[in-house]
Amino acid sequence: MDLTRVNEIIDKYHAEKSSLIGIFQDIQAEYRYLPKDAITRVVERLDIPLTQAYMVATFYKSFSLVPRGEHEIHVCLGTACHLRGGQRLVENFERILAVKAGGTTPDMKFTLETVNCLGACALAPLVRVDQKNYAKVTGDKITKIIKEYRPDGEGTTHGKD
Amino acid sequence: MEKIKTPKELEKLRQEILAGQKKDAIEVTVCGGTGCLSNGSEQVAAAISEEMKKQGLNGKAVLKKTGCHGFCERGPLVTINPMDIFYQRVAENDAADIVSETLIKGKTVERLLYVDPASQKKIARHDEIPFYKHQFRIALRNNGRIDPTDIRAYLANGGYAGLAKAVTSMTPVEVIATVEKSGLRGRGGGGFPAGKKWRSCREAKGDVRYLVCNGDEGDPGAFMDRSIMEGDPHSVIEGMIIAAFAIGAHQGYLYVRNEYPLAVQNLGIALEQAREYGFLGKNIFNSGFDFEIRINRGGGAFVCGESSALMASLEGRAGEPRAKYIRSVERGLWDKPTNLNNVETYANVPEIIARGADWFASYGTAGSKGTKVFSLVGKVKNTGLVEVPMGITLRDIIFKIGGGILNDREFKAVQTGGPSGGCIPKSMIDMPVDFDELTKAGSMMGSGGMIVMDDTDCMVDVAKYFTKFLEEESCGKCTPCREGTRRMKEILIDISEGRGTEESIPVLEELAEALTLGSLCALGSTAANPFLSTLRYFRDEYEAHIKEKRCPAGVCKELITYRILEDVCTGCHRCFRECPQQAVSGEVKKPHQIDKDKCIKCGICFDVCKFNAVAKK
Amino acid sequence: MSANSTPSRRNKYFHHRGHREHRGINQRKTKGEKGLLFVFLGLEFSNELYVFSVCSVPSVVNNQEKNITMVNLTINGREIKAEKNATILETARDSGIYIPTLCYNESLGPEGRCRLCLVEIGEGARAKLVSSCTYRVEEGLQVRTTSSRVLKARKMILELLLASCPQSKTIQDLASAHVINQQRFRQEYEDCILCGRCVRMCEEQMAAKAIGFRGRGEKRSLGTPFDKNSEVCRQCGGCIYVCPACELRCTYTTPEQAICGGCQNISPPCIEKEMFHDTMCYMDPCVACEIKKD
Repeated sequence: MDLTRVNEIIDKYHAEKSSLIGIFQDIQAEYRYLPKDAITRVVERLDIPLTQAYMVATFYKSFSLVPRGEHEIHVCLGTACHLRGGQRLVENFERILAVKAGGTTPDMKFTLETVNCLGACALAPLVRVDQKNYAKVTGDKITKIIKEYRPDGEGTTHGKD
Repeated sequence: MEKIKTPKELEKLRQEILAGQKKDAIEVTVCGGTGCLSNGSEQVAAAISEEMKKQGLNGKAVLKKTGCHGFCERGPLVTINPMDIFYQRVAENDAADIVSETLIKGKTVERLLYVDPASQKKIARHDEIPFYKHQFRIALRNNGRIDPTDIRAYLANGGYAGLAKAVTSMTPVEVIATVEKSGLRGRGGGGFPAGKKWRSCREAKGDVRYLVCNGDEGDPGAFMDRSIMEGDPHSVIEGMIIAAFAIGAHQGYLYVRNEYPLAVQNLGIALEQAREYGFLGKNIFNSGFDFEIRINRGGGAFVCGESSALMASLEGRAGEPRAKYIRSVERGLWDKPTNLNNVETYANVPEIIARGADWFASYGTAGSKGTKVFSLVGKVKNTGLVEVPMGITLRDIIFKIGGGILNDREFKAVQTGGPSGGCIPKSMIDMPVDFDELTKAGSMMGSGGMIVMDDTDCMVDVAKYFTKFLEEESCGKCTPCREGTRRMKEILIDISEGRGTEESIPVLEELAEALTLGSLCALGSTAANPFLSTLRYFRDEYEAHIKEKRCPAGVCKELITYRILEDVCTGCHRCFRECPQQAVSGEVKKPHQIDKDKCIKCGICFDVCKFNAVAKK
Repeated sequence: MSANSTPSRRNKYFHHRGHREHRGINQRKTKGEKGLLFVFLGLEFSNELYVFSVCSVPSVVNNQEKNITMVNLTINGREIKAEKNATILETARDSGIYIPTLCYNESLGPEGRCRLCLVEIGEGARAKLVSSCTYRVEEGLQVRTTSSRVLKARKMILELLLASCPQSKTIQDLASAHVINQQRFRQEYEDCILCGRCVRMCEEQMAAKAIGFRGRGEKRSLGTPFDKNSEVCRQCGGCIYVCPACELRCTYTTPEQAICGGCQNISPPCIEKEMFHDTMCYMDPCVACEIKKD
């Protein structure tokens, strides 16, 4: 694996031990996950134990050790969104995408995640796909949202068990 | 840019900026908080800007994008000054009318005005709208009025005058005394007196001290800190510099959660500008005091809102708290004395210094001085951010400011304090909002989330939701929290799915007690609060779930069935089309039915029916 | 006259402190040893004086060496003297007072993970439960090791551990010692109680840091990064030696994945009769034997 970008990211943070989380976040944004070789390089250059890096990589929700989908769907499960049907929304997404929350569709197009409050509670229930927010989403609007990113509609199970 | 070195220079600059603002120019502010952005306020702003150019208003009117105005329910929001006209639910194609009617002809566009649900009258002026009228804004003083990416707007409103005063005419001990006198208590949840904390940090042994700002805001349903960080980042920065001066720290950290990218961006811009003007860096205001701030993003862990876990995260480790037998003001970040306060706490500090402790202490109650920002969300008509003096009753917040319950349903309870807090029932709605009063009622102030519930919300479901949340967010270090929340979650799921037994509640109560007594940190020791407070006030709901296998509010999936009310159904056929399981049958214009065996209770028919003909019971 | 010998004259607190100082990462080790050395070589005279004065004068003795300050506290109503920086647990053990522990180990830094060592301190409304392995003694502290709240917490913790790791002999013994004869949760069969002793052993004593925790909450587990053979593991077997549950997450059933395979040599827990009662174990049949049979 080409580690030039990883080295650049580490350089940006001056290889400081306390910047581990920031470094991981930039790597996560770059590769959509934390590749094992990247983690190993960070460990070498920051001179920290591999167990510490691995603990940090698995402790925080932002990081993933397996590649995430092209588009990340975050369904907000903050309290306000929950009260306005957030849980049902997650279940409907799971059904339509045929993937459990936290997982990625087989075609690597979508990763479905729940998130604990995006801070736009007045617009509950909220769904964020990448950087775009969809407000007041109801079950019937899901297919339309998915079609925006997967126009050919492959792999959806709408209407089937 | 010449750095500002004396209070006189600051005042001179402020006068220059004020003079530079065209006095008779009309100012159009468009809310750019995350809420309104999600509703398309970016496009609205672009459209208005286009129209202003098209209709030849360049120079006579100026467009500003600001931080969160607070009235998120009605976004996108546009305010026009100096007439103080308030438009809500503005769409892109309203831009032309706004420019031609209001900006040029000075008339209001009626359809965009707020209608007061009680009086059914249209209200044009921002300050007359009940949502805003009853608020008193200190921490949110600049939100919605200034462009958060422009330090000059902050300066024009008196920004950094507090810092100038503290650093040039007060000693650190005097600053601490002022904050102590003001009675400011931590706004992040603990409610610990801020001045006292600063004093302990200053007096702790050691030559290096750190200052940390907790911008993690993990409570689901709370977005006060986000709005302050996005909409008025300089107020936080100024507060931090004053605090650092008071305790003698030279390095500060702003810990912002990763889920707030706009906040991180605006804070970053603000820090750069503060450095440019000399408010951050070396020799601030020629006082010999140096201070720098760094932004650290969180990794996505609610437990990192706990101070020792936050510091572990800043050190590049996993966010595992440690028992606070030795407090972090004595041994915190890298074992050095560290002062940690919440975003809102710091945002109040510049005003306290500029206007004096007595001014701040003149608001609020005896035990809780000043104001508090609440995020009023849930089943209330006017959801959004409100800042009110402490001591106001819950009834006033929910009904006067909030406008009452959505769809005029029955008020059932309000949840305060996030996952560590509890529910307050209808019988206590006239309670004054105050740190100690809320704790007495079995809840807590927390960071300020206020979630209103009506009779369609199930309290068992609420307890289950919070317990599930805490179980996922538990760091896993100590046994009572890791295992205890998990087992509580299992039992609550059993109850909500109809498998509750007469043993369920006693076992839950025992677990709750062990959790509260034995946990290492506040996440664990308050984890049982949602269950305990809902049990205290809504025991009958638990019993209905357990004994009758029934969910009175119609929420718990396994205990309800979806059916169509024949006398209400108009036969519009919409649910038939949307049902993913083809479980709806019926002819057009005739009442429809749901086949219970095929129904998977996905709720889509309920969502799409415009006639409220789908019942869940 | 080295600082490591244990002369009869030496106050038991010295001995204990020396023992405690053997932590790889604790800087106080160096200070403590130096201090002892200093006392021993140069000031035997004052050492004797000190021992004498501790025995006969029941009050806090302030010496020039600040690490010999004593404090007075009460445990279960009994007045006890302890070194200023000792923990409640160490003090209790020195005085023969029993406090159960799981994640505590004398030669490793305490963490307060398992919460089994909780004791109650303080009075009235300000009483609270603290983990005795990490809480340092203070002048005038009032400690209760068997108050009703402590017992409630302990029992529930053991019940919870029993629900996840029933075949651990250590937990079975502790449970039967506390008369826990029911378990009201869904039974699971984990073999790791996540006490972290193995991690601390590997880090502090062996300076290898080959294994560690990962994940949080329910997903917390223990093992080598990426679940692969560790390059820094020296196969010392230390982790197995300190494990209270006797079966480790870091070993596997296939030899290639196991760290050192040492567990293949361990006898089943029901044969290690260290803390054994009259009955085989309080659960019948013995779960460990049942599982080994599959």
